[in-house]
Amino acid sequence: MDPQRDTPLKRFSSLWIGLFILLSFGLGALVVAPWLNNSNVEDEALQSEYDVRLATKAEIDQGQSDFLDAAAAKTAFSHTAKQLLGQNASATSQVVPGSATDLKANSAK
Amino acid sequence: MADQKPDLNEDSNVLESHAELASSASSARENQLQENGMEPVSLWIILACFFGVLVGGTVLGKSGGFSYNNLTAKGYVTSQPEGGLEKAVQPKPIIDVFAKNGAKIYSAKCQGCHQPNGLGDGANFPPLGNSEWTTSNTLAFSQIILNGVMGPIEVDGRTWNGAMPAQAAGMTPTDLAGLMTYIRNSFGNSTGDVISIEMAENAIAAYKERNSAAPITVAELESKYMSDLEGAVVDPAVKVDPETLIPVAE
Amino acid sequence: MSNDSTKSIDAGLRTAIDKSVSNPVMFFFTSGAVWLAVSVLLGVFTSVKFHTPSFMECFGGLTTGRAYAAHINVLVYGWCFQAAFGTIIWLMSRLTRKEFKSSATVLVAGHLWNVCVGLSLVGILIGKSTGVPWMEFPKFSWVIFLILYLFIAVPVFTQFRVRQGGHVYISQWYLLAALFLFPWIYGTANIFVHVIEGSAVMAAAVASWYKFALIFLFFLPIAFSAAYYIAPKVTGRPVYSYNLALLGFWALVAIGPWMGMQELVGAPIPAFLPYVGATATILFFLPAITVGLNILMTIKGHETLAKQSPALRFTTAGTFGLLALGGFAIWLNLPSVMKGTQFTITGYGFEMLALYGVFSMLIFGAIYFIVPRVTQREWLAPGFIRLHFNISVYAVIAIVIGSILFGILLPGVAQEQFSASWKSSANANLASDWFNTVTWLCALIANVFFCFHLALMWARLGRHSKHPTLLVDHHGGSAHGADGKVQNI
Repeated sequence: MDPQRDTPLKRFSSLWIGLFILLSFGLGALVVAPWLNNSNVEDEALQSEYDVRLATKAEIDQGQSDFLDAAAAKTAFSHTAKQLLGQNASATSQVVPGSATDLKANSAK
Repeated sequence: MADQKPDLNEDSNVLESHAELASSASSARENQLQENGMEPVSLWIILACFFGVLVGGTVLGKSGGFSYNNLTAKGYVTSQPEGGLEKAVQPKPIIDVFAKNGAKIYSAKCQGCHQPNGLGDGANFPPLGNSEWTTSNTLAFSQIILNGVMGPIEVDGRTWNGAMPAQAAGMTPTDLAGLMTYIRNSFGNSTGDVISIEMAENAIAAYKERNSAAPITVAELESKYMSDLEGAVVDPAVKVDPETLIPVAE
Repeated sequence: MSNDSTKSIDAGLRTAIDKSVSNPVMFFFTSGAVWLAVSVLLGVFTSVKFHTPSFMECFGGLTTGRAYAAHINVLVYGWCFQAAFGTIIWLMSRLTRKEFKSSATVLVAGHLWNVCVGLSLVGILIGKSTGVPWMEFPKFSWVIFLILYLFIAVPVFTQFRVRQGGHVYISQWYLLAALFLFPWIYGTANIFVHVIEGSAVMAAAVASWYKFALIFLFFLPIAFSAAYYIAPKVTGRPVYSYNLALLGFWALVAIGPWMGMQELVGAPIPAFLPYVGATATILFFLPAITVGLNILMTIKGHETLAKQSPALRFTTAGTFGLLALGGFAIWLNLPSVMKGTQFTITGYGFEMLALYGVFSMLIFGAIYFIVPRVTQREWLAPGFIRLHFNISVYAVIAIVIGSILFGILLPGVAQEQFSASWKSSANANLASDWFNTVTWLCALIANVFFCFHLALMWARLGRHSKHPTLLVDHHGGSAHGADGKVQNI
């Protein structure tokens, strides 16, 4: 029985020693991280190719967005849509293979 | 006597009696924790551990060295099965190889209308078996495939009035040769011969020479195309490499 | 002082310690049991989805991927951690022979842990999981869990430093090791996966290392500390061999950090890494057999007690599970067999054997010992305990046969046939998948009884009695009569 072990100082020091020990690896990892060779060697080699492709893509995207006239597109879509809505469905004589008509004709044969 | 009148008894221990009252039954009946077992480590355990270390070391040895550049371990991928590589270059008779290729093309392009069994649908699409158009006059047959057919055509004693679209788009000579060989040897047909690639090339040349977007009619076929394709006759039993279609010497 | 007076003072001290930790310990055990129930339900659901993907399609959002991630993470972070915390706190307090002063801190941390697990579970189910095995909880959660862990671990460490007397018990070695190793493992894994941008393949390797480090350097040491306490305590015998305990402890601490990457054999990582992991897992045989034999030899000669005492029964079963784990650790990591652990259910079966067959069984033993002392009531129904035990054992046997054995022998072998299509090997998975469903159904039944029983004890509805609840045959006669009716309390 050693009641002198339990002193407020001991408790205080345990808190900080404990915190330090428990967090030391995490802090160590964060400290060491910049020195780690964490990059992918192959990725670096291909970086120039990536840059060319990305530049081309940017150029294409720019050209397409420049050409796109939102107002004109909207007019075109709404006009076409109205036309289609105005058209009525009509029958055709061409039989689609595998359709109900075709299968009926087949089974009738 | 301590439980009768504890206060008056001089050799009673207040700490004890308080403890007795305050303790629960389960705590009271517990054994003391003892740790000082001094049995020596048995030789059997040491041997078992040694065996474990031996197995572990063997596995480590198989890793192929401590190197960050080595991404595959030697011997990890099982070697090819017996006869596996040989099977890939097993030569087969040319008629089988062409027919197999042709079957694939048939299922992609033709079976929608002419059905997987080649019987057609009885109303619009004629059967391909026992038909003169498929079994004789290979030039006519090839032009039907490449150009499509419009207008009445007589097959199997009936007149058919469907419309067949042209199939020339994307059709290579190999494809055409395989397709024609397949149709001429299936669905009840058994011509037993092979349309060679040379013949198919001639067929495509004739199609290009016709140079018309319209499907071909029976009248046109009967006037110009009722003959066989030109080209050296290939013995259907010749063995070829299924991949390269090159005849393999026996 | 007389032996009797020491004993009664001891008893008083024990009771005082038990009272001081009763709130956090009971909280952790009960809420852990509830998380176990949730996880087992998700496990049943997931296992059915493996072989019958159209099961309960009406719950469109609950796909196999989400259910599996939820199942594993709730099992680990809900049940395993909280059971571990409850055990750590009680064991450390008892072994330091001092009352625990920080119950309030720990209790608050525990409640916040529950909130975090609940929120993260919802996060997985709505689709926000990170996709990293065993770290699927949304990104924010790892910092919170680490901070809450500090609130629990630092008081326990303080308790250790202010301990009475100089002797450090074997259980305390394992507890301290687990206490310190966990934040190192957890911090490292999360920093290298979530925080530092690096090669994605190495992040996968770090995740698979984390999985095994968590099992073998945190959960199993805590389970061992429970076993090293229960076995000598209940039998009254000293631990069989102190030297063997030393050997086992240092072997585990030395070998554990190397385990884990054997899961990725064949992946595009440096080839030596999986093989180092395989070697280390094979070497786990050493601590497994030393700890296992040490505990079993301590119990040897007290077989009747091992049958009657629930705590000792579960401890014995868990120790046999440990020996099985050690054996499988060798077999599954032989290069020819290792391939079968990658795309089959075998790897999962091995982890479940470790988590359920060893850790959970040993912790159940600890729970059946601790709860009467902390609540000052005895367990109500030996029948419930027996059911819990028997059906848990069936579940573990189903894991071994179904997931581990069938997982390799059927799909593992089928996948290596070059000439057959992959589809035919996928059909071979059916047997092990059905066994997996059996496992979790058994665990569900066992857990229902365990949860219910524990809830009754938590509500302080247990028996007031001097006599412990033992799993005796009533033909032998007991103080409570043939039907268990109370005659002589």
